[in-house]
Amino acid sequence: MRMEVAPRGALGRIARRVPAVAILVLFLAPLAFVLLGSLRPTGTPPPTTLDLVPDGASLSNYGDLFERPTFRRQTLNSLVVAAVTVPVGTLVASWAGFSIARLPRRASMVLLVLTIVAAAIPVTALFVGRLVLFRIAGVTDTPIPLIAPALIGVSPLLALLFAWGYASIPRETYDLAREFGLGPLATWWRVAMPLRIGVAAVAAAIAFLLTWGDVLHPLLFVYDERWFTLPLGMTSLAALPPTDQSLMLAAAVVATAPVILTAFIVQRFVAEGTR
Amino acid sequence: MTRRGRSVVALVLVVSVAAACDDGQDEVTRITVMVSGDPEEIEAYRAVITAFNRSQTGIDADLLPFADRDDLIVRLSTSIAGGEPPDLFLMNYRYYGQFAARDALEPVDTYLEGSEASSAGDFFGTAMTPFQWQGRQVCLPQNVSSLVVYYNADRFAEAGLPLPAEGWTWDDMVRSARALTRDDDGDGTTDVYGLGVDPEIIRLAPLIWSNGGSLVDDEAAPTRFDFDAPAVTAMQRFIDLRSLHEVTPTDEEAESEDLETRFLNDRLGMLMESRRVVPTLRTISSFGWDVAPFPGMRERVSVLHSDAYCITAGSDAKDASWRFIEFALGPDGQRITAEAGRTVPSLRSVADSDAFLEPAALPSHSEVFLDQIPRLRSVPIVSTWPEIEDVANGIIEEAYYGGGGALEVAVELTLQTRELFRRAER
Repeated sequence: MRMEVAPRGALGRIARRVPAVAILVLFLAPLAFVLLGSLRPTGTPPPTTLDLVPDGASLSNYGDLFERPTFRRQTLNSLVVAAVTVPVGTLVASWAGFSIARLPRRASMVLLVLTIVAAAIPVTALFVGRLVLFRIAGVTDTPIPLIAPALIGVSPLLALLFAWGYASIPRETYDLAREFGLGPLATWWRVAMPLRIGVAAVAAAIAFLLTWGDVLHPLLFVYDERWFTLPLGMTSLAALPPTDQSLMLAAAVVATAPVILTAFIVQRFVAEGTR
Repeated sequence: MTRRGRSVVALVLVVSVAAACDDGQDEVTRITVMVSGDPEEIEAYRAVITAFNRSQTGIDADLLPFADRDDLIVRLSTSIAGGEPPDLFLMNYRYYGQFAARDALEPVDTYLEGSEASSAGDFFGTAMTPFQWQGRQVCLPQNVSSLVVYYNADRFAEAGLPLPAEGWTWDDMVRSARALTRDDDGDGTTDVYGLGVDPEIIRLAPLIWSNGGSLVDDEAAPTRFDFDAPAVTAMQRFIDLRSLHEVTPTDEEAESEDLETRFLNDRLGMLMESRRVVPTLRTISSFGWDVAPFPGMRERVSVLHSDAYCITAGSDAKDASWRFIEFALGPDGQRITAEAGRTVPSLRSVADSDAFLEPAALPSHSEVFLDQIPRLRSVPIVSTWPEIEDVANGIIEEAYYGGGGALEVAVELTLQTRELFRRAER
């Protein structure tokens, strides 16, 4: 009996993993090419055929990159912007989501609709208005426009994510919190947030991805080159001559690493949430 | 005085000193110069700005660089609409019309007339004219480049071909391209193509003019594309490069390895480009290369590639911006950009000097660019030209790689751009 079941189980496991491995290969292949391409020495024309391990492969491009003061500064700027925007933005989105979930039904619906409308507005339609606001506030010569999205929770989608998470907590839990004399802020901090820490982790990860990869805010609102961030810096590396493309690929690896790390950290919360 | 009172006095003193320091700093006018280009080009502009800042004390210029021209245009449009434009920007004559039409530019003619450092006659007139909008000089040209042909001298010698030279024709170029196109290993795939040219209106236009053809109905006030018989003939000769002679890479090949890279890799006999590729070509060590004029059909003509500094109407430091232009386009500034290799100076004195001609550096015949200047023509200067180019390039590319007929292309170009010409301001 065991002899019959075991192979079927093994086959089933393999069959289940094949699509996952196929998808993994599909997504990892471009990353692998970027990584291998980043090892090619600069000053040589790009290969004309598939060249998995480049001649003279080395990590020297990474050293060259970090020897460039501009690249170092842009990487540091991106880290600083993310370090401020992600916690502040996640906090604001969490509060907004909690309000949507806990206000009386009519007010909650109004906020929900407004948030969905805000999420649907193309971000490009808001640029001129935002620039006018930054000009009136007198902050166009500062890095403040880069972290300003934190004040609206980075994206309306994050507020919706939190609203969905907090609304799924049973009403009895909130009633109990009220009976214990907890106000709205204490209920959010001591009850709702701990119960939906997974949602907060996912929202923070999304906030990081949006902030880290944001090219439009530095492109449109920064007037001082010293505050350019990594995505904008990469556009100038992309304009390097073909003989120096491996330098751009090395920068792409540096820019992608935190994203992969974030995805790796947050996948535990996603997996728990889907069980 | 109580301790608290002394603290208040001290605080007032500190604030007063700080304010005095601020007043001192306010005497320095800050200006922002927006440019786009590859890193090497940006470094040349940075060197100009550094030299300018060192040359005087009252103005502090900041560079705001972008890698991509489209990025610069988006940024400029947003900042003008938002009331916070840069003081200056550098832009090609094909793209500034959209800003001139919105009265977003401060004409420079009055500054030029009152200048002791510069005069209109110092610059090549060919580059000055395209930057005149409704009779006024709105921007001042920084370079006067044009379309030329770079060639792999070793490939020409190997094939026993005469090197391209002044007076060569389109037919000469096609003959050479056919001789240079080779399938070395006999696998049915072309290993070396004779020529690389982007299928775009800016490349096609000089061929049309060289055959005596017209591009638009009225050069001064165009209202539509108007391709006459010589224009259609030239267009067909252009399309034939790929579909009949097969001397240029296919669509897929051009996508997988751009023309510049293909030339660097010794897999392209000739490359039709402007001056901008020179710094990259100077990295070539495996073969010799040089430059030849654009080969026409009946007349010798080429197309202008020129960028200019423009002052924005919203700048609150226009005088300081003009002083920067005087420096950047003066002998010192032009020498710095010329030595970077990728510009043909608009200032006659620097263009004729070793700073540009660089006898020791390739290309050996940089004078080709100067010889072409008197016979350069420019594409129409209208506010919607960037959109017209986008539409036109799509149609030309499709016909070039798909083997379309020139007459159909001419009709399609005329019809699909009619509305854009109608909306155009000039």
